Amino acid sequence: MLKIENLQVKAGDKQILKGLNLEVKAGEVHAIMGPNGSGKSTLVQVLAGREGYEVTGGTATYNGKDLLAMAPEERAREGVFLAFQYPVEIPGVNNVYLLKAGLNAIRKHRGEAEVDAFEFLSLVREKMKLMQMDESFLNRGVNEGFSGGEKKRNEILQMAVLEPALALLDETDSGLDIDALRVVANGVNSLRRQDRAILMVTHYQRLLDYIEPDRVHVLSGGQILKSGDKSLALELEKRGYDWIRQGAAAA
Amino acid sequence: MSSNPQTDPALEALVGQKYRHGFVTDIESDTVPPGLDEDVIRLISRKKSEPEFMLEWRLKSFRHWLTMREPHWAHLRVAPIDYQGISYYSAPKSKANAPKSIEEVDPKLLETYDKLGIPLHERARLAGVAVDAVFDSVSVATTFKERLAKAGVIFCSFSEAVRNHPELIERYLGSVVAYTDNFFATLNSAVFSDGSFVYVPKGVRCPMELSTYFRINAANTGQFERTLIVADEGSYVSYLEGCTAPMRDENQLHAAVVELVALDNAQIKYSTVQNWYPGDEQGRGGIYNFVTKRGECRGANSKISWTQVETGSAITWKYPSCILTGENSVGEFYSVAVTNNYQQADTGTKMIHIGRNTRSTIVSKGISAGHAQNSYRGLVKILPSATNARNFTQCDSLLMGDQCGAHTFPYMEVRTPTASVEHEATTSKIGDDQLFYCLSRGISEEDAVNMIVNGFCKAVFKELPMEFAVEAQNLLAVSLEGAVG
Amino acid sequence: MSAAAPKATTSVDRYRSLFDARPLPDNALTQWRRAAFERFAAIGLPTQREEDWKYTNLRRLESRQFTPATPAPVATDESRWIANAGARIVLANGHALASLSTVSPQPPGVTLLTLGQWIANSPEQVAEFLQKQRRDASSFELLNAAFLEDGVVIDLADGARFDQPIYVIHQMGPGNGMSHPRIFVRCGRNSACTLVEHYIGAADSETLTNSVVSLDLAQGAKVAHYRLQQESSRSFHIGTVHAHLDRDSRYACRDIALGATLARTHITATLAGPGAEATLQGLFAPSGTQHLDTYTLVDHAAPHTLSNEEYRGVADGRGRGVYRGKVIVRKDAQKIDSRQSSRNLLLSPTAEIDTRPELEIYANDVKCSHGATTGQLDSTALFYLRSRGLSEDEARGLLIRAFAESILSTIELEPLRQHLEQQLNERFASSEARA
Repeated sequence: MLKIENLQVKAGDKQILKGLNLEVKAGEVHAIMGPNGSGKSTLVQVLAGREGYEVTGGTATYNGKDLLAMAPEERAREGVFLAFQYPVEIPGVNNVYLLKAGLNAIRKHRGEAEVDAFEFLSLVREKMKLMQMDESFLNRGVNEGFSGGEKKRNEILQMAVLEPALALLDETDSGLDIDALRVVANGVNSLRRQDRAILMVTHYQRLLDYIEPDRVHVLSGGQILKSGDKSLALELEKRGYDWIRQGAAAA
Repeated sequence: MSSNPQTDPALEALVGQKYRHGFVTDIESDTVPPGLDEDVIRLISRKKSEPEFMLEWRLKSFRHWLTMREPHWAHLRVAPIDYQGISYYSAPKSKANAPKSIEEVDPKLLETYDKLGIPLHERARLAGVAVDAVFDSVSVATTFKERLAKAGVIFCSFSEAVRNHPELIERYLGSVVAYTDNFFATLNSAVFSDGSFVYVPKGVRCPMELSTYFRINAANTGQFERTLIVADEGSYVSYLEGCTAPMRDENQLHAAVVELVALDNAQIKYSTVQNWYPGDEQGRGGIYNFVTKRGECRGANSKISWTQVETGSAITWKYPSCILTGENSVGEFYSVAVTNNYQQADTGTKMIHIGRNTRSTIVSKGISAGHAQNSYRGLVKILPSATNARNFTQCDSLLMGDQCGAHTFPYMEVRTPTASVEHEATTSKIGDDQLFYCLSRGISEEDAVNMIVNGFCKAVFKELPMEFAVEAQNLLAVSLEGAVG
Repeated sequence: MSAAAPKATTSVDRYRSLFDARPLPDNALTQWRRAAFERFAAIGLPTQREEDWKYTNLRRLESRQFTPATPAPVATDESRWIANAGARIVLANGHALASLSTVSPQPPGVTLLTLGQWIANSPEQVAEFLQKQRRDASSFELLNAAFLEDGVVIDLADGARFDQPIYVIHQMGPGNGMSHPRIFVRCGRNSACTLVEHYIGAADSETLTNSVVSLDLAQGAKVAHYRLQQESSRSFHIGTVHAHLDRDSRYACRDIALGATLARTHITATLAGPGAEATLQGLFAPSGTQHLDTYTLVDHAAPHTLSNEEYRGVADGRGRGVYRGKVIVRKDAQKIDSRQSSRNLLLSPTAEIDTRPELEIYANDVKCSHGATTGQLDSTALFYLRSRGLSEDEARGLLIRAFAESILSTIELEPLRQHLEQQLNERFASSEARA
């Protein structure tokens, strides 16, 4: 579904990704782990089309299409979803309104009819139950005055409603206490499907206790240094990142 | 969901439209030749069969005006105005005298207002709103008069009020905005031709929204209307005004005066959707909108609330203000001012706290795009008598494009230690983060910008009566056409 | 002491007769002074019709007759000086007093001399330097130019650092003299210095201080500027500060106004190069019938510049505090970050605070904000303290000092901070504490 080859990305004068390779197939959950500043967030931001990065080499194809050539909204309509690490507040813009506008844009793109208000509300209510969100959420502005945990839950709620084919989760566990983490992880797990891929980026192994990945990659210095199954994450937790970096340097 | 005005599909449909009220109605007019002297003022007064006191008041104002100098403002570029080149009176010449009912109104006029979306037939869309339609210098029709009369509410053209209720006019005219107030208010006092008058008697809650729809049609005329609203003890009224004008290459002057008086426990809610012709993309033409609006909370526990959405005019210069004389009285000002292309807006409010425990709230949202300049100018004055007075001001500016300007000039004068005055202001462009967030949810850039801008203005839009909130959002989308990207 | 002027005489006429009475040599400097005076005479003193002076009426100042202060030594009040504040230069009634100044040997690249010395040594050079000063000077700057006698010149070569603060004492009075000192600070690339200005007036003097300070910061230079105004309660103080900041330079000004019957400080910081950063912090505390006016102008003339401003006012008695903070972002000066805050306390029903935080913005990629509040002491806090046994006076004094503390705490110069804390303690102490 997603194929990244030799991806090189600069932010300002700084080379962040230095030839990254990754392939994610439908139905798979991949976790990218790495120390701070290794380029994890850059990777998902670039995949979602964030401005401010310069792709200096390599490719990213999504279902055979050149992902990097698409505008951010096109990517979203094609089924790419980014759950933000720091979801932005948009004062005065209603949560549900944004969600409905997004969903309808995606449906229109697929040639489907727009959902009517009634249908939509019952859909959102159902997903809200899953994310244990309060009814008052419906009337609030996008992330306006939300706690850190509420913002993260809102991200997964959006994912549940928009039903992407490829979900990119950027540090979704950061800032969550253990109870909130369970709720968020439950939400994500319920969205695992044969035709959907999930790529999550995280600093800690903790999230992977709740969302079990098929593959784990270690990103450091702008490259994937090691890939393995979920046991790799446990090993990282125990031994840190240095042994991999040393191994890579030796090789 | 239907209660959320943002979901109106008209918003999307309207993006990309140009000024849509720019047509001219081909109607024969009775227009006084350009020029201004005492004879012209006598002529206007005679045409309106005014009592002697009105003529005297006009002449007094005119003589005072001759001693005044045109103001010059640091932040506005105003082309010279030739006051002798303006015609001070223009009325559609349909029937010899003013029509007695809607049925007698010239069909061309009815059609004009239909085209503007303001049907004057009472069975038509705005069924809950009574409309006074002012065309150039005169009121051409007022709807729902009888139903209002039953409640005791007087809603009529100013000319009619002068003839039928001279005692009310004599008592309240100029009692909030004195004829000496400022250059444009004084000019208005001398030459005003028509406008609306509202009187809500004691204890009456006006049964419907009142509105006046102002239309400038004739070329080379100025519009000088005057509105006076008096809310007697314990009464309530919600009033709104809309304004449009044809597209013309020359600037036209609109110098109105609005006076509001709220007595004990009375409430006046005054809303404006101002969409005078703003000029073209090069800044040619457009209305000079120099307006004096002031309300006095004369009685205890009274409240005056101004809400304005200013999208039109080449230049807007207005500061709807509240004089909070009565104890516990409340003044509010909610404003959205949008400037695009070469428009200039200098708008804000004055809150003068005189009575004890008076409170005021100011929420101003300025949006500047193209080559436009947008200034907030506001005064909060707490006099020593206003113990425990409170003010809160929030003043935000949004910049779209790197050729425009956004300015904030608040003045806070506090002379009471028990008062509390708070002012906050921000200026920024639309956040890249916000835009990207919307884009990554599949929303187009244009829609995302519209959404964010509407969200930015929401605190003001929610103060508008329902019928006009949607209209205001539509106007916003139209005004910012071409500003995105 | 101040002879009432005949009605027909305007303040300009009075200044002209003073100007004409001065014996001046026939040189370029005198020509420059004369030109400045004529420009002053043409515009006169500012009136309230001017936006810049909306809240300050100069009638009190205009009616006074000041005499040009003489170079004769005056009684100084050394007990009021800040001890150990650095290399000291004393300007008594505007004239440098070598006997009281202590300037230790200057490190390489540092030139520190009095303006009088410079004028005596090379008047042509001074004239040439002054010619290059701003043309759009205000009336008070022009008046200063016409009458200036002495001042301080600080010149730092590239990379030079003066490690101790330069402590300039403006000692005024007794009598009704006027002084027009000027301080020039020229900082080469990556140089650094600290300037402390202390204005002190002898009790009961009725003087006029009209000072002009200009600072020119080259790339990477860093200046900390402290201004402590403690003129006598019957005196007038006009202070003008211009700081011009080139790329990556830092200017921090702490401006404390406590004295004078009428004072006006006008600080302009022009951020002329990317990376420049200005911090303006101040406190004004009018009481009695004092009128203290502060006008700051931060001009973001280059992209990627930063400004941070915080002013606090405390008005008591019949005092009036005026604060106007203007921030301009010029066209194409993108990526600006500007913050401003003005917080004020009104302690008496006859006091007044007028605030005007202004933003004038011609570029779009900016983050500018300002906030202003005026109110009284927090009644909950007051109650809390009283419920813990403090008297109302003590509690009020404590809260006022806490309010001022947020400005004082930014003062890095320990002796100055202690001096100020003591001054504020005295001013806002409770009656018990005073007893």
